[in-house]
Amino acid sequence: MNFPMSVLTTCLITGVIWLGLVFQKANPPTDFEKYSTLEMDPATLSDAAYSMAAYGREETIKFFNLDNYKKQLQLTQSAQASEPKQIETASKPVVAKPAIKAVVESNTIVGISKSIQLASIDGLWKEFLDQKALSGQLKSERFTIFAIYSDFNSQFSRARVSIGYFDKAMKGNRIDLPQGKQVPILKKGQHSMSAMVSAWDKIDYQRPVKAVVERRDYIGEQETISSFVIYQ
Amino acid sequence: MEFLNQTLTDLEVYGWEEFIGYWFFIATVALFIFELVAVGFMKKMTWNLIGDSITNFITLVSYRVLGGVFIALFYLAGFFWIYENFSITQLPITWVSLIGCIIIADMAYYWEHRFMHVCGLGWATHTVHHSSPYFNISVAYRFGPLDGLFPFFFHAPLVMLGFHPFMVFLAEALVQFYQTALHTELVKKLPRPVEAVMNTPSHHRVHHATNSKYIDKNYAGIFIIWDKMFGTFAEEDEKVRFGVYPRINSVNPVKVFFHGFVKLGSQLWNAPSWSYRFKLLVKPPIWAWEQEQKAKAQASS
Repeated sequence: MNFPMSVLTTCLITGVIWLGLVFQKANPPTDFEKYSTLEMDPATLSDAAYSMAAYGREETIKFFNLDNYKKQLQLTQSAQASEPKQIETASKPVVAKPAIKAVVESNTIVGISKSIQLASIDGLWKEFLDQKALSGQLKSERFTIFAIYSDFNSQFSRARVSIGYFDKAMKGNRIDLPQGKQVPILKKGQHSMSAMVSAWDKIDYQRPVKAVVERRDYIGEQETISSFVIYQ
Repeated sequence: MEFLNQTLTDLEVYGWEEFIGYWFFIATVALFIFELVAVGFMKKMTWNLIGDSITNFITLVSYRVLGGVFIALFYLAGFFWIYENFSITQLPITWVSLIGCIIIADMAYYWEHRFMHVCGLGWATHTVHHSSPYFNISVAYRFGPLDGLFPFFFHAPLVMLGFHPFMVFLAEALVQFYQTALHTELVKKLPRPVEAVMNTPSHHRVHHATNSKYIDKNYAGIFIIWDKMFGTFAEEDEKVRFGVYPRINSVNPVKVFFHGFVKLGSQLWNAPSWSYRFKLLVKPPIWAWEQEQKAKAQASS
């Protein structure tokens, strides 16, 4: 085979393998698996990594006292224990950046949707939280709320805002979650209101924005928030 | 087989590289000691072989000290920068992805290796690896100063395709470990199906040969099929003479480590023109040799 044909063949083989991997049926990553080395103390990184391969997840977390990892592992285990169905039926493999990308595992939320001035967003949140018919259906203390901002006006002062519970079993007004490549603007964690507002500065307003999505995960009173933007 | 689809954390992928790398090095040192014992039994042990082997490990340390840290940081930063900004997608970190990554990384290794042989700049560093007149495990650790630089450019496309940088590092390491284990004369031929598909010590002895029919053959890492497909395969069917031509005849680690760049530097210094200098960097080393022969012939006539 001559040189150009060899290069072409290499590209073809690579393309076929790559396509296979793009469409592989990967299990959606759990919270633990989304956790990244970026969150780790660099001093223990190498040893902890070695230990992870040699002794497994739980032993490593115990030995190195990786508090953040511990929390993520507990979250994952409690999720698996309390909601096995939701994990089993998660629909699509999601191509995700590890650790910092919020992952949507189903396509709808149940809640309310209105076109409002963004300055009056607090009112919509209050309206949503006051809907006892919805919150009364929650079966556990662990749940997720999504807030979707879409159909912005040119000044980004007005948008359609949809807020809803991410729970397949709930009855009520179903709202589609926007699909597309998720670009994170706020890493999962506990954030102040000002940090959440600042996160919007990371949006590239030169590009057409399809939606901004805010995800809030609750375990009892504990709340973790992450946000991402989807461009058109 | 369900585990193949399980998502791994990037820490776990990094961990597997650390784990395999650590134990593989211990295993190769043990294998090398076994080789030395075998050579002793065959009464082929010489002071030159011992000196050459020590030099091999000194080049490994020099490579790590001089270029290793810089290159590792360059790799890390470069791959993550590409992954965050220029990857067309981000593939799930699963065992299936890792298998795909190893196959593509093995092809990338083939091309990188071929490049090192057919480009003057690449050969200046890679010639160090080939300059030993022996063929044992320690030769696998005989590195040139810039051996770690060029693989970056051949593996960066994998990151652009969406493989996590740690996964590419692990795949590169696995190809390298496999390659390392091929540097032995103790294993003759493996069963035919293995020789047909996989790179073996026999195939790799051919790669290290100075026999004219073996020159620039068998660049493969793990799978020999790439050489068979791309027309660079040769079967080991005559006794192999190891090393490079002309021989360096030295176990001085400084001379061994730098001889490729010293030679290239001298050729560049004495080059008749800038276009000649450029060709020295990009053309195969045989081109420079041919030019020198022509110049000598003209001078004598």
